[in-house]
Amino acid sequence: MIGKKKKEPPPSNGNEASILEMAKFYFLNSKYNEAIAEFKKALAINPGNAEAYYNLGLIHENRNNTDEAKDMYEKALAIDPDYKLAKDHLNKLIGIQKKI
Amino acid sequence: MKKRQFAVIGLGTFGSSVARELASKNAQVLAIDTVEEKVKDITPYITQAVVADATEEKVLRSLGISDIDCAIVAIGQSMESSIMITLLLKELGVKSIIVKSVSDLHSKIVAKLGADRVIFPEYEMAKKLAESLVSPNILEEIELSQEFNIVEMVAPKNFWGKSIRESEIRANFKVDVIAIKRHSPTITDEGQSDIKEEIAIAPGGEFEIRENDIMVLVGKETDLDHLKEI
Repeated sequence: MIGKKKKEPPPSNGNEASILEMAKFYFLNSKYNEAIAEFKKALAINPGNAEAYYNLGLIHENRNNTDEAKDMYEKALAIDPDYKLAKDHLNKLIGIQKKI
Repeated sequence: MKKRQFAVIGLGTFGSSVARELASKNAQVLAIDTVEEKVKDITPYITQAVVADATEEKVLRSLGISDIDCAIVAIGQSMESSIMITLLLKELGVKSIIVKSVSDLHSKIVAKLGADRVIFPEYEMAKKLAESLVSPNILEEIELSQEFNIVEMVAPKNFWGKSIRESEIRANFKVDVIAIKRHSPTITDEGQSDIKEEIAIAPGGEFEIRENDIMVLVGKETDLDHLKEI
């Protein structure tokens, strides 16, 4: 069933972890503009936050903005080369299929 | 049900990929190449792989090629070998012969020799790439016939928030919506964000088209082209 769920956002006290939590809440509720703003806030505090880049990649991928999504996944992988989900999504977008 | 038997002749990137994909779908696959290393590489993945020169009739006979349901001639480097093998396979009564072509002339010759299907991957990929560059909203295009295509495209802005009926896509563009794909945010078992793809097959007239949806459409190429322009 294709649908949306709605909840209240978690309280934010302005630190990186709570901003990230808030951003993911917006993402899960398909409030992508709000989620982008929060992920960017998290990156302003810590530019080395691979998870924030990965999530921004997901939002762009959801919006069919392939180039931007690839850019974000690449940034996540530059920070954490073992970020499996980022690698899987990037490979999918580039067109690299998993070998049997 | 009896497993279908395939022969793949020529184990370059294309041939070995076809052989492995067929084997992964439980088909029986016989792979042939003159290069020992290529045969060795594919051996663990398929039914049987042999080092042999398929341009020799006695070799093909000894491998029982006549019993094969479908042979794929995937030789890219030597057009001469590809043509000879196609001729031999035809003479030996292989039921279906597919040839990977490297040029227009190659395609014409093997078609005249009786190839059941000629594929030209470079040309097909180039066509797809050009189409995707010109129309970035087109994600995939499959040719059903000379006239009809299936197209996967990002839902145009004018349709967002409208039902399929309200979009008047059929009346205005003469194309049918056969599926709508939608990505939804989700959380993995490990607590990571991810996206999952949901697909509505043959959606009814009341189905609402949303922003970021991907529509799978079927229609005449000319009608689909009109839709790409909006």
